[in-house]
Order: sequence, then C-alpha cells, then structure tokens
Amino acid sequence: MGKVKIVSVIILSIILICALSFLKTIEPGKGETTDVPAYNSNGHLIHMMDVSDTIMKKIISQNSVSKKSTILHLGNSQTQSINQFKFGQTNFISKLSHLDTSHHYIASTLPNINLEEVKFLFDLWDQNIEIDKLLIPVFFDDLRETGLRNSVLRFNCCHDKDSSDNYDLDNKSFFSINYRIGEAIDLNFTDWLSNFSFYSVKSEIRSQLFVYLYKMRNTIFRIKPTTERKMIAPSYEKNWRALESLILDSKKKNILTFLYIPPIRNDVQPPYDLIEYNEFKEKLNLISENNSNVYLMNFENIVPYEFWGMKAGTSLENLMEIDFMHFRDEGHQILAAELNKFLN
Amino acid sequence: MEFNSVTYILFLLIILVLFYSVKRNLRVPILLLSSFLFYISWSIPFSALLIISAITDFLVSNRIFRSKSFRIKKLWLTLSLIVNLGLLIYFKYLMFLAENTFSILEQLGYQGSSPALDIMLPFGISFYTFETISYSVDVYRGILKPERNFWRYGLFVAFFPKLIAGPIQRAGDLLPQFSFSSRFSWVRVKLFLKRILFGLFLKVVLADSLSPMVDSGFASEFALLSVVDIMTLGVLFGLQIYFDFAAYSSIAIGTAGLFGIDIPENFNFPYSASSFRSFWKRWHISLSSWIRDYLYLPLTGVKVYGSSSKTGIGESFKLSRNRNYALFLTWIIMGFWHGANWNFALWGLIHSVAIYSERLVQKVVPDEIISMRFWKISGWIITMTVLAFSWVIFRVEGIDDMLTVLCKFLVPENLVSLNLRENNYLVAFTFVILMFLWNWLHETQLPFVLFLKNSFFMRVVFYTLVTSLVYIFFDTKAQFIYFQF
Repeated sequence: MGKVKIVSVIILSIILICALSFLKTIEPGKGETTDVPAYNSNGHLIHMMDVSDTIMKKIISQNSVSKKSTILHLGNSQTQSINQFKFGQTNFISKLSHLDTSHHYIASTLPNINLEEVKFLFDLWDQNIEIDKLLIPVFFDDLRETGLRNSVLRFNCCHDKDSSDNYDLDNKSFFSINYRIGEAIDLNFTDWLSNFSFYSVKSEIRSQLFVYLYKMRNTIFRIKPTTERKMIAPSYEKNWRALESLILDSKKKNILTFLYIPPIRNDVQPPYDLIEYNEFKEKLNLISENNSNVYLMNFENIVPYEFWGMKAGTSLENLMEIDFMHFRDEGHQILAAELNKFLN
Repeated sequence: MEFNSVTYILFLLIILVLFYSVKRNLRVPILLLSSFLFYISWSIPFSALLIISAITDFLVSNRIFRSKSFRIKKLWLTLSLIVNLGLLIYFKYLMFLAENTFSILEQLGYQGSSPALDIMLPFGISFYTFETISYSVDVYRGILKPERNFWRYGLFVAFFPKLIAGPIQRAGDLLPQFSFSSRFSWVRVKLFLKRILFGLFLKVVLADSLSPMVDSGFASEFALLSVVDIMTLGVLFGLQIYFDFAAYSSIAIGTAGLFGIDIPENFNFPYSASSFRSFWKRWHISLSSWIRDYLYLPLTGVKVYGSSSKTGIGESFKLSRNRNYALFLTWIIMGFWHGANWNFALWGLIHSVAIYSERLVQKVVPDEIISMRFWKISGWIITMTVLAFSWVIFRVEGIDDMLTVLCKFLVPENLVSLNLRENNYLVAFTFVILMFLWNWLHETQLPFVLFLKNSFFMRVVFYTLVTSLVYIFFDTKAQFIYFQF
C-alpha cells in the first residue's frame, strides 16, 4: 500500500506539473492591447521596454552620434501599448519623434512604473547619456506601487548578476556580493539547471498560479477595472519623495522636467476617489509652481472616449473589460501632437 | 548551503548513500566530516569558532567530572561560560554595547566617536553555544557523564541538520543515539522524507510567498499606518516566521531522522494556544526549555535535577520568592538572544508581562471558570492579539519605528484606516481561516473527517498537491529568518 501511494504521488505530481506547464494564461491588463516599441524617423530603435542590457547599449550608441538635444521619456504601459493594434501603427513617442525632428527622443518604459522606479531609470540613463529634457507622465494609479522590482534591478548594463540584494539605494550603486561557497555552488548549479525546460518552466507555472489567484480574487470580490481604488498613504508618500528627489537632481543638472497628467477615459467614472484624485492634481500643480525647471500640463481629457477600448478580463469569467490605461492609435496621435506643443 | 537548495538535496543524498554503505563505526566520522563541510559552505573562518567552542567544553566537562572539589568544578564551569558567552557577546552584542555606551557618554557630555566596529555574526553561534553550555552545565550538575570520544562529542555540537538554527539539542538526548544501533528502515525513510517535504512546503510555498508582502509592509512609514494596519502586519509576520521556522525545524527533524537520529519537536500548533504559557510550550520548544532549565529555574533558586528539551518554559514549578524577578529577567534575556536591539528586549518584556498577568488572573479566577470553553476562546483572542502586536515589535528595524508603533497603540488616533495594499488584509484573513481549519482537521474526531484523512485517495491527492507545489516553488529565494539570530 505504501509503495503504491508513493508511486501514485510521484506519477500524479509529474502529470500535474506537465499539465500546468501547458496552461497558458493571458497576463492581466493585456490582451486586446499590443506592446509596440518606438522607432525614430531614421528607423532606429529609441525605446527600451522593461529593462534590457542589449537594447540600452544600442540606444546609447545611437544617441552618441546624434547632435540633437535629448529628451528622455520615462513612462508606463500607456506609452508602449496600443489598444486594438493594427499593423503599422506606432506609439506616441514614435509619432512625437517624427513630428519634432529638432530633438532626439529616448523612451524607457515599464508597466505600472512607480516614481521610485522612474527615479532609478533616470539615474541609470543619466549616467550614460546627456539629457536635456525629461518627459514624465504622473499616473495616479501607479502611486499605489512602490519599491524597485527585481527585474529592474537585475539589469545588467555594466554589472554581472546584480539584483536588489546588492543595490545600494542611497548611493545609487551596486556593490559586489561575496557569495558564500555554498551559495556560489548553488548559483552555478541552478544556472545550469535553468538550461533544461523541466526546471525553467517552474517560474512560468508559478506566475500562472499567481495570475489564477489574482483572477480568483477579482471574481470572488467582484473587482473590476471600474472598482474604486483608494490611495495607499505610505506608497503615495514614498512616490512623492522620489519625484521630489528626481526634480532636485534634474535642477542641479539643468535638465528641464516636463510632467503631465496622462489621458484618462472620460466616458465612465474613473476608478479613483475623486477627492484624492483632485488633491493629487493640486499637489502636482504646487510642485510645478515651486520649481522653476518643472512644467506641468493636464492631458486627462484630450483623448475622446471613442479612441479608447476594451481589454481581456481580469476575472475567471474572462469577459472583456473597460481599459482605462491604453488608447488606440488615434489617441497616440492626439497625445503626440499635444506633447509636441508642450515640449516646444 | 540552504535546506531549500538543490545543492543541499544532492549533498544529503550523497551523505545518505555513504552513511548506509559503510560500517557502523565509520558513521560518526562520516557525519562529522559532512557536518564540517556543511558549515564551511557557510563560512570557513567561522568554523574555527565552532571548533574552539567544542574543544573548550569537551575538555572542561571532563575536568569538571574528574574534579572532586565543588569549588574547582565551579571554576571549570566558569571557564566554559566565559569562553562561550565571551564568543557570543563579542560577535553578537559588542557593537550594540559599544553604540549604547557611547550614546550614554555623549549624553553625559563626552565628545568622542563610537569605534567603527564591523563584526559579522557567525552562523549558528547562538544555537551551538547554548548546546555546549548546556553540556558543561549538565556535567556540572551531575545529570550527564562527559563523553570520552571527541568525535562523538564533536558530532553532537556540529551535527549539520540542527547546526545553523536548531532545534537546540541536549547532549543527553543526542549522544546516546550516535551508536546508530537501529537498522536502515524504509518506514523511517518514508516518515522522515514526509517531514522534509512538509518543511519545504512551509518554507518555499508559504513563508517565501508571504515574504515580499511582509517586507514591503514593514518598509512602510509607520507614522502613516493605522492600528489595524500594524496588527495586520503583525499577523502576516507571525505567520511568515512560524512557517519559516517550523519549516527549518521540520527539515532538520526529517534530515536527522534519515540518519536514525530522533530530534524532539520544536513546534506544536503554537497559534492554537489560549494563553502565553501554553504558547511557549508550543513555540520554539527547544529554546524555551533550555531557557527554563539553564536560566529561569536557577534564577528562581530551584535546583534542577533533570534536563529535557521536550517541554517548554510554561511548565509550572513550585513558587519561589524570586519567581517574578526571574520571569522578567529571563524574558528580557530571551529577547536579547534573538538579537542585539532594544526591540527584542521590549518583545521579551511584552511576553513576560503577559505571562505575569496570566499568573495574577489565575490566582483570582476559580479553576472551574478557567476550564470553561468561553474562557479559552477569550484567552485565545487576547493571546493572539498581544502576540500579533509583539511580532510587530520583534520585526521593526530601529528604535524610531519601535517608538512610532508604541505611540500608535498608546495614543490611538488612527485606529481603522486601511493604508496597506488590499491583498495584505485578504491574505492575513485567509491564512488565519486556513490555520483554524488546519488545527480543526488535526484535532477533530468527526468520523467523516477521519475517514477522509485516512482514505487512500485523499492522501494521494494531498501529497500530490504538496509535492507539485514544492517542486514548482522550490527556489533559494530567501534565507531562513532564524539564521540571523
């Protein structure tokens, strides 16, 4: 009986793991939107989505030959995603670089980027290129997020095996880790194991399980994109502090900072507490008034409702849901035109 | 080498094969060598300290045993305590002592700067020094005869499953098992592999999944949090540290069991305790029993004639005059054992006040009421609430955060606003419910539940889920929390 049980458990576990590895779950928040990086009029890639060593190096080398002044855009998935994408459409940074040929544009975007990550990316780019203007959308939603995700810190531009474990936030630098013998052996061993699909598939299954839990939570508690999300005070404060520190740094370096309140759907009530949202806008106004190098524009109503869209559901029912973040190509055109006026 | 690493699994397999393929008299050297390899995988220089501590108590205990004079026995014991506690104080408390001394001197007008000390805490030092101290004390008390074979004694100190984070072992429990008289048994292997699997489940699936939530919660500015937020963080951290440490203990027990060594349980459903005394009979039993036998009872003036790591500190003993003073002192030391910071001392103080209050209540409330269900439920609610608060004090970093938390409770202005991510409350609530369910399943005698628990099908489904989840989540993401102590 005992042996039968052990064998059954082993066989069933293998079957279960294999079955889970074949399950494909749509990443929440995506679906009917497509990520499109930006290219300038010379056909050069000017946009780093997430973080990538190779892409950053490529962008830096192209920037070094450009004689134009550089505008760095640090944004979230609104920059990189086009709702109801059709072949040939481009995001607003691409469009902007075509409209405004007097500047060299560089975009660096991360989904749900928080202002601490914006600051981190600013420092990273600032170490490698000469920035003249900074273009930053400040999303009320994203102020709920804090901290630097590991994928950001695992960035390998000049360092090997860097992660949040060896990043010194105060000194903005990586320090070397002296791995213990056991850790070093384990690191090499797991690196080797990652070459095999039976091992590397684990992280994919893990994220699928978490997506499933997320969807289950949304289904049970009837959470939809329209559900009001309250501000999280400690995260909110940390984000403001990061923005203030970024502005201080940019001021020291004579970088002009262009902040904007990004477009939001106006055909439905936004999923915010309106009092909190208005306070947020007032605070941004105050920041721009108090800092001579900071300019602010409010673009919240520039994209009409027909240029927004739907996205794949974030509950187990998988019904289409309203997309508050990503607009269609037409929205990108409008925003590019408005930004062009704002920046020039 | 972490228990939750592929390297450890391989290491264990190799040692097991070697262990069972050699003659019995070679098993001690094999385990000793592997324990040494295990330790140097953490740190080569610190292995010297382990050897110093082991040699000192091996020699001292033999001297104590051979000495006829009580005074000389005492002198040898004092030497052992000086060496062991000296190591502990130097590596664990010197920086703390220096900082505090200089800050007091500064208050008194001294204008110098604190020496820049950078002392790393050697792995497992708090655990193995307690083991060597208890060994010498037991020989001194006449409870134990000293071990003559240094390799067997060395294995008692360095036995790798319990070396880094316990459970703290007593020589009297462990040394006799090194004769390895029992034969290889599949029943034992199955039993202890289950313990390892269960431990890995607690660590990689539960504790490590809670870890990012706890870390980001405790990185918040406490001034912006409400009492409800802080208590939620206390619950989450309480769950994380339980899963994490119970996981370590379970893997240690499982690993030792594979070599035919029985290590006593370190946890026994601590969160079902309805009083602090009951909690400490169920939580980190090996430490609380050590503290009872080698600190609390001597402080109360009670003579100790036996030694057991199987029961916690909550055991009741005869009243003595020093009882209350001993209680507070013991708990503050217990707090400091966890780390050289004032928050640990306060954590200990909270526990001592709770136990002292229970004693007072017990004096005035009749036994019939204490045994009532209502009393137990109320006791559980109060115990868990104070416990969650004490976990926050335990986890905060720095005096500022500790004082902010205290102010939140002493001057409660912001009681119920929710300032953490919604998932924090949801996860805390879900886990509390699941813990209830798990405890209930463990204790219930309902025939239907018993039938399900014993059915082949349900057991296969349960172990399939546990095995699959352990495989999927198996990763050396985070160190065990107790490694830092």
